[in-house]
Amino acid sequence: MSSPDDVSTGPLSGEPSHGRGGVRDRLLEWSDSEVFKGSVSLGPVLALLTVFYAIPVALLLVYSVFAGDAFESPLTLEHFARFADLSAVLSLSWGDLPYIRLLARSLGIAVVVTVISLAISYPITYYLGQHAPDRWKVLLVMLVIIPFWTSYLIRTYAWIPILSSNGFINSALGFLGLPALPLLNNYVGTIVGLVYVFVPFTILPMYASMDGLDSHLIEAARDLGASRWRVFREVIFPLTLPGALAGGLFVFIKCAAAYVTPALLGGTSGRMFAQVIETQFGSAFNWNFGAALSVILVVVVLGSLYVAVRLGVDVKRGRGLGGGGL
Amino acid sequence: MTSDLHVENVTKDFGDVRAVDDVSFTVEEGKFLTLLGPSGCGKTTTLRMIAGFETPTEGQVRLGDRDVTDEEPYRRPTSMVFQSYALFPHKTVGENVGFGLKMREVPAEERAERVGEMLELVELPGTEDRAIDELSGGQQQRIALARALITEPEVLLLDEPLGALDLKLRKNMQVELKNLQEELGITFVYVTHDQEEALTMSDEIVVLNDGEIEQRGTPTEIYENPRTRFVADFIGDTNLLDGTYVRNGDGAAVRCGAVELPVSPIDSIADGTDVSVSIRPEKIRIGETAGGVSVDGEVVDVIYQGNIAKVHVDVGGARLVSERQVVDSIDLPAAGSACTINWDREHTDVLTG
Repeated sequence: MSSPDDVSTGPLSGEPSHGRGGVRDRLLEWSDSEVFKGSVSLGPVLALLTVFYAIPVALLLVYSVFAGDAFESPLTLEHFARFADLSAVLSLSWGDLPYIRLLARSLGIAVVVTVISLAISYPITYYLGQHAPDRWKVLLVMLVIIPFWTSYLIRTYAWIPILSSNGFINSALGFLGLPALPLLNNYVGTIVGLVYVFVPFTILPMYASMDGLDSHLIEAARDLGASRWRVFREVIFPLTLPGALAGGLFVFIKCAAAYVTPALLGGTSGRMFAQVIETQFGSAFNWNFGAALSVILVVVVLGSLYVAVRLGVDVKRGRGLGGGGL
Repeated sequence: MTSDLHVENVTKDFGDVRAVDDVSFTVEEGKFLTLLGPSGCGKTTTLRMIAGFETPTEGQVRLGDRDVTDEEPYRRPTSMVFQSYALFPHKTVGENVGFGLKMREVPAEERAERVGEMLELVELPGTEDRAIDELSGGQQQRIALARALITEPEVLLLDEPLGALDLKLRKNMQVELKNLQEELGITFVYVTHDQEEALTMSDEIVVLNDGEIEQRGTPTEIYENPRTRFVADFIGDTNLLDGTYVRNGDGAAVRCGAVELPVSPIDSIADGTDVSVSIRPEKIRIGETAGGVSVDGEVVDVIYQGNIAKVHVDVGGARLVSERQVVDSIDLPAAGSACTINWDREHTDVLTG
């Protein structure tokens, strides 16, 4: 990239500088400015985000504060009040706050799925990044990616014969003389289905972190007397935290708004927030309330994201990695 | 009780590849031993077996009377300094140096005190709170050393620790490391491919090639009396000539093409054996005929390098290089002139391996 000096020292032809205010010079100068370069390179992306992201979100915001049709009916906060009835909140009567309970459960399920996904990813990526022979690595990482080639919907349906009351798992349990477990149409089904779908999203960024981790650091820690657990806590965990945070946050955000998996595998106890939103837009035709619930979900998820990133940065700071977020 | 380090008949296979083949040596307590060889010769693998990062396929590693072959790295009284330093990038200098003590549950106060002492030893006092990436390569090297020494190991293992430093710093660190080793009186096992480094620092050198020991001895022995062609070639510069060993009466010679170089007779070599001859360039004098072996030749090239000059002399088809100090550049012979070169017979090494 050329510095501003290139312009101020005169025309490229090397002629003495004349007509300083000339249109050509001004155009040349402007075309070399950071603003111009910035808008040319960022422009298409900005346009795309505006059309497909900013406008729909703005519409949601607009719909959430009108009683009926946007800009034609009176402004109101009644939809938000319906979500969080102030008197019920103040008296802590959770029974009267079905939407808050559902949101809390959704976030809880998202946290559980994130934690399980990370717990599964640590040993797998540790092996992939630190011990797998180089010629196997590509193949093994491919195995993580291959399920994406099949539709998410089909893969979720495939869990029904595995989890159902007379499915593979319960048949096997029955064969062993053990009692059947309720695995489908409850929160267990939702969690299993979500972990299955999202585990690759924690594996891939964590694999990048583990692969980049200098194995000599682990050896040095072992040499200096660290037990396997201390090696994990002192070296592996802090140095792969960026990968875990990136993967974990992604999974958390996607899970908090999960719709298909709980709809197919979750039944009533595995019901999640996005299903209620869908009901408002679909069968209830209450777009305004649905928009309000969507806005609430976005705000809550963004809020937890902020807290998580701050926590992550603090963990790193506490371990001496001077500042620097993700 | 002495804690000499014994490496006994150690072999290491990685799949079909034999990285180390029946290697044995002993390092006396408090000595500086260097494992020297080109990359892939098995020197790092040998070091890693002493450290406990690799388990020998066959053979034993003993410290004094204690067999440590299968012990975990942290149970052995050894500490390793890695080529890449392997400093923890997310920890401060102080946390890095104190890591070994923290793992041994040494209380924070005592830890801080000993970290301070260690940093003083490596001449970086007061750097406890600095981040690792604020330090220069040479400083990181010192921190790595301090971190390895703080657990008071009996044997310090160093894997090309100066490899990443520039030449000048490396030369300073060589002397400093040697001084430190003498001051602390602990055993150093040092791995390098740099023969000059090995000669500068070691009490003893083990030259490895293709997983096997070529020769072991003091720096002087290795340099003055290389026993194999590989050692002669790898350590320092030398004139290597291939020829045939011939006996003539009481004496012996090596016939290299048209010239015959008289050598001291060696009983173990049969007449007519193919051998190599190594003569160090600085042993060859020009324009003298008194004593020793004299050969007539023609100067083909004179390479002036400031303090020294290398004179290439053609003797009956073979080319010998003579290296001499330059006191006055006028004294240097001219290319194309005839000359006589001369060296002492004991400086001719006859090599069969």
